[in-house]
Amino acid sequence: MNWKTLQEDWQNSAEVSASAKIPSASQLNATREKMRFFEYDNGQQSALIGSICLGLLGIMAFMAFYLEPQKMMLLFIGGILSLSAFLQGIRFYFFRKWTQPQQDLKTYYSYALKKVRLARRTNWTIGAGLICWTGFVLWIAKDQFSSIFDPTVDARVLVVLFPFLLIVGLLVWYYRTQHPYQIPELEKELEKIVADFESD
Amino acid sequence: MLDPAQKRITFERLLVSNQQRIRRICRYYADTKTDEEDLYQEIALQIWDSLDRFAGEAKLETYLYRIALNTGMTHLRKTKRRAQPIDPTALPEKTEMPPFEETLSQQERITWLNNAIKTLKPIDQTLLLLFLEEKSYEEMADVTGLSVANVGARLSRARQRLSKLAQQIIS
Repeated sequence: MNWKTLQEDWQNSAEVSASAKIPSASQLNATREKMRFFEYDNGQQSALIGSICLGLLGIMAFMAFYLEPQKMMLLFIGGILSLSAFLQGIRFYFFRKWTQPQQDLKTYYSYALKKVRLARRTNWTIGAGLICWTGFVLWIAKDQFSSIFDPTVDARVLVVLFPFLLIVGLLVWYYRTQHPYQIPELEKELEKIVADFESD
Repeated sequence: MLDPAQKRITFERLLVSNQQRIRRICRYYADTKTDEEDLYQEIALQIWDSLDRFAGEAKLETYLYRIALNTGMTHLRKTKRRAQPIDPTALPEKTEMPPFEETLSQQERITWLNNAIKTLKPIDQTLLLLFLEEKSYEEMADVTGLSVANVGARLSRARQRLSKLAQQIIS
């Protein structure tokens, strides 16, 4: 096998027309939007905006609870939103740091693995946080259950909350089983590659 | 931080002078022409976004290779679940088969190379691509983060594997 010939074949194989296309600013923006919309890796700005919105809503819920302390549901929702905002913020910070394709392959892959693990752990943390916070709110409100589930006062909140949880559940299911990345599978794949690097 | 006009000029120069290299990487990692074009746009975007961060600690060409290869591999991960399994020996059939280079046409050799390299581990795929681009071991080490000695050892094993696959076509 003559590797020199193969190298020449390879290097002569790409057809680039004389009028080589350089993407314009609008094409780059279109690609950015497309990646942000479809890719799990990207959308850092959306994550930051989402985090800020969740944080603001959380603060509003806490303020509303401060004004009307008998509405424990507001405390519950404030906690959930703040927890989500906090975790989104952490995720944003690390994803921003780790999603830099100019790093060498070894670093890129070890960061990709960290990123996938963080994504999985964040999902678990949100789940665990949701359960703990619910328990905490129910515990401090044990004498006033009626105000939490009072259909005349907080039923609307419950009506909003449950579809929200359903959507979150569906998203988690989608990313775990349907999305091209399939996080658990991707994690195993990346572990193998990183181990391969480490073995050197 | 580059000013926007200067950034645009640097970006255009970079893409024009490295167009073929990037296109070859796109062709390797993409399944179809459309896919190839999408990947090219993604790489261009990553180069654009990373230009401000280029601190000159690596050669610009090494920097470009890192971006193109990392973006390409990420792209491959996204698309591979819809791709067909590859059998590098199930390519062209010829009756007279002396040396490999004479057995296949240039286009067939490139197709074979593409498929054969994809049977290797991801790191070895990258090393082979850089080898085909005639990069030195030092440059390969810079792009991959491996030591020069490991680059040599891995590349040698990968080339042996490809030679064996080529033998299967000839025999």
